[in-house]
Amino acid sequence: MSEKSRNLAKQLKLVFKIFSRSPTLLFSLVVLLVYIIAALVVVLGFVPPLPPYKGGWEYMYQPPSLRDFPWYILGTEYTGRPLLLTIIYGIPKTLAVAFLSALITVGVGTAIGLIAGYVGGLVDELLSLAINVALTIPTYLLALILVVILPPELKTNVLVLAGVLSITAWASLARAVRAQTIALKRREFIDVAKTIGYGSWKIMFDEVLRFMAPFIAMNLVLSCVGAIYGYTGLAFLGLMPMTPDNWGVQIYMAIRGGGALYSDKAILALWSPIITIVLLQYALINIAKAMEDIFNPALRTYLQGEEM
Amino acid sequence: MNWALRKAIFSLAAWFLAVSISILIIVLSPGDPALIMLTGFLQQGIPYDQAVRMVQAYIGFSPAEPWWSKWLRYLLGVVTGNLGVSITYRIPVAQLIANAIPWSIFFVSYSLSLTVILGVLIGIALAYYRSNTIFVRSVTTVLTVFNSIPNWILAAVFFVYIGARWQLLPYMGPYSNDVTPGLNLQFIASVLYHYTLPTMVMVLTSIPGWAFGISAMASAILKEDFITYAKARGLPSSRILWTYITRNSILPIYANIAITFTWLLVGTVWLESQFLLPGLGSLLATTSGARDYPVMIGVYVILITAIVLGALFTDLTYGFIDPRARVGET
Amino acid sequence: MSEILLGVKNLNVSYFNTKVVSNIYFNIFKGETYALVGESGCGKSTIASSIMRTLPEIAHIDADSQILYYASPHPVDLLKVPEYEFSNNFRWREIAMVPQGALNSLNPTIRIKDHFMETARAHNLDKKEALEKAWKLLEAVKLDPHRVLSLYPIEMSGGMKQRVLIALALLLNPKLLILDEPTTALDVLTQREILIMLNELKAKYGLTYMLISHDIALVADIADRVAIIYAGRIVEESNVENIFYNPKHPYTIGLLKAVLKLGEFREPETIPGSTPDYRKLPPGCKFHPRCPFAMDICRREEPPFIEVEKDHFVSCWLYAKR
Repeated sequence: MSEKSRNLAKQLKLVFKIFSRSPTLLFSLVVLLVYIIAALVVVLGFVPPLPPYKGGWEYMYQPPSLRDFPWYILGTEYTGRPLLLTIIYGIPKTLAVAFLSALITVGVGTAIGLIAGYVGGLVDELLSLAINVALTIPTYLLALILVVILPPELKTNVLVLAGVLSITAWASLARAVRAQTIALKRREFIDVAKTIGYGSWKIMFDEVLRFMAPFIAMNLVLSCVGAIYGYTGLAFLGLMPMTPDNWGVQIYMAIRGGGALYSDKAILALWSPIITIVLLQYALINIAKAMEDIFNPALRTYLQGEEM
Repeated sequence: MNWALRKAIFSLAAWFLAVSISILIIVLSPGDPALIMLTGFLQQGIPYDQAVRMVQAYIGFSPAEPWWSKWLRYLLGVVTGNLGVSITYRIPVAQLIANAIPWSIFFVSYSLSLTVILGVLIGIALAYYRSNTIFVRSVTTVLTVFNSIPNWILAAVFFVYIGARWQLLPYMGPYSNDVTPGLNLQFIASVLYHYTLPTMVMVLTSIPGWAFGISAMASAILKEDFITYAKARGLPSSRILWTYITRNSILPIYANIAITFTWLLVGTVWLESQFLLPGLGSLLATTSGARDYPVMIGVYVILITAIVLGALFTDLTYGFIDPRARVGET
Repeated sequence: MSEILLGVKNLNVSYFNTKVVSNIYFNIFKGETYALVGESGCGKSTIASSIMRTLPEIAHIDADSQILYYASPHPVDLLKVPEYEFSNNFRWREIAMVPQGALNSLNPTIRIKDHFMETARAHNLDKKEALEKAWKLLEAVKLDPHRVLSLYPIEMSGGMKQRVLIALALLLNPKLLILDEPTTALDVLTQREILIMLNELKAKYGLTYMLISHDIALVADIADRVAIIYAGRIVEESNVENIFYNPKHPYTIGLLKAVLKLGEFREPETIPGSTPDYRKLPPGCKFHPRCPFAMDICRREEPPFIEVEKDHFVSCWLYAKR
């Protein structure tokens, strides 16, 4: 037990070391934290409700003003609603879709990889076939078709969207986990655990999963990046319901309807959602990279060696 | 050769399964396109029997059949080259796709070769000049930023600014109106010029993956004994850089060419439609907006086919390029 | 056995102000096999790299260090000649090296023939001539040239690779061959064959060997003179008989005891303590923390190099006349 907690302390120390080394990473963590807090603020109802849609040219893309501070400091968007408010309203839904989709991707990928690698035999052959077939189907391509043919009431469902955006995304993780599991199975400690009397499923989830935790965590973050790409990108194609709180729709409208092509009238409506998306992706990618560093054994020993 | 044949058969099986499973998912989903089309025709006041026949004629299977029959019938159509008829264009889907394919092949292969060449060069430079902290830091930061920008956002920004607002490069259409399509120099030059902006988007957003991958590989290769031994033998540094470091760094991630190919192919959906270029991607994007299901599913099947062929191609060429792969196979 | 081929004088090498090779002096005579022996990390490979000029850029060699090569009437300091001159006249032409064959010393993505041809080209050797020479050398190391030239490194065993590396080292008729652990990680039978071959080649081509090894048995087999290295310093140097039958330095004695002799049913003794950390070397004799005979003076002052008998030098306070 103390061995376990000492290990954990060691891991945390390592994580802290990697984080403190890089200002970029610290910045990324702060950014992600801000997004999460904003999402919570919206969910807990601390933000005024979206005002109703106001048709008419005079309400669209108004310049920034101090009215109802701070909601109008970015002006209004294509429905005449305050831009800042619609962007903030986009955060909880985008994060929810991204996180749910990542959970499905990583959950399915890890489970299939573990089972295929650990059980072996016919099960492995069938699952490997499934992995190989899924690898040939790009997620966003099938997601695009599904988003078009699904009835509108399902398209707005966060869980359905998350499922669609992870439809074949699990395959590459499953392949990696399978390979790692097969490699780990040959290691001594699995046999040791067996002789001590652990059940085989216990071993699978305890030892194998613990060993691969940083790799799986990295994939969780990268799956979020992928899901955000799909969620906003498909909306930009005009294939998602035109809800004002989707950043992809906002960019689409700024270009198609807002005249961003010819004037600076919709410049804030164009750049605000772009920066919102890119900043989030940038933060997530940096965090994933840090997790890769934790997974990278060479760097790990290098950093741990420095303690001496 | 036996090995190549086995790979080909395996690819064929993977292709067949991928297409059938996708078709199954589509016909089994709550929005079966045949049913949606049928509803559409009925709303236009077309009698039921005629509407069913029309759906059958367009998409190849009837809304009244059971799912397995729809599935089988569509697959049969794919194998015989009959992909149905476009609702919006009223011409066979196969013909629409045949017109689009050359453009996408050009766009994707052009972007792919530039991505791989530039990505490898940047990656090798990152590893080779790793002692120059300022160089490594600044290049890495720029790459990470481009890694975080979705390609469709970069396309939109370039379209608006470099194209529409500043008029620096052509941003609409595959070639200018004053050239005649064909194998003449003006046409080719015009096409290359018009594809500059879209290709820039493709390449800039796909380079980071290659540069990071190659640089990680090359950093490991630099520590190998054969590098030290090559230096001891007095080999010129150009030989060490290309035949030793670069060659050994590319080969382990050669298979990533197939992954990048897939990624670029999917990217055409956004980029070709953004820059109003012909091709499979824009065909899929526009027909999706118009709910032209026969074309959508047809393009989808063709894209899956291209992806399987791309993977098979890299697999086979890798076997010829890397001696280690062949030894492993036999 | 009296003509000097290579003389190392006062060689000092450091990494980031940490000295890893300190105050090294030795001579290698024409036609002999001179062995540098020590545990891994003792600095013997750094000495070899200094001679071949393949040290990494971060390594620093002191300005007054000398590596004299006596090819022409006048000795040349290899550390001072410009890089192009070293490359044109010395590297592989006068001095070549054989790395460990079991290691990844050959480019896995090109054929053996390409290794010969690229080496030849780097030294302006005619293509046809180089191929003929490669053919002959591969026959001399008892490989089938016809087959081996078209193979990739991965298609060969460790023993075959070691033979190829030896043949490759002889491509430009060098006089001095640096053998870096030439039999490590090979099976006993192959080790034997390589040793016999090395002796044959030495006679056939009039070679001089500088052997780097931690394998006492190998050294006993082929070396003429031996230097024992500890923590980047030579602690004992003499001919092979003196080293094996009359060792003086406690470290040498410990090393020899660590070898399990056949027929003796005794566990090999290991020297207590671990290899030293170069960043925290102790004052005085660097071996004193592990030395069973350590005295007060050993902890304070570095021992001088003492000639205990003719051509037998030891760096140890036990033999100092005070």
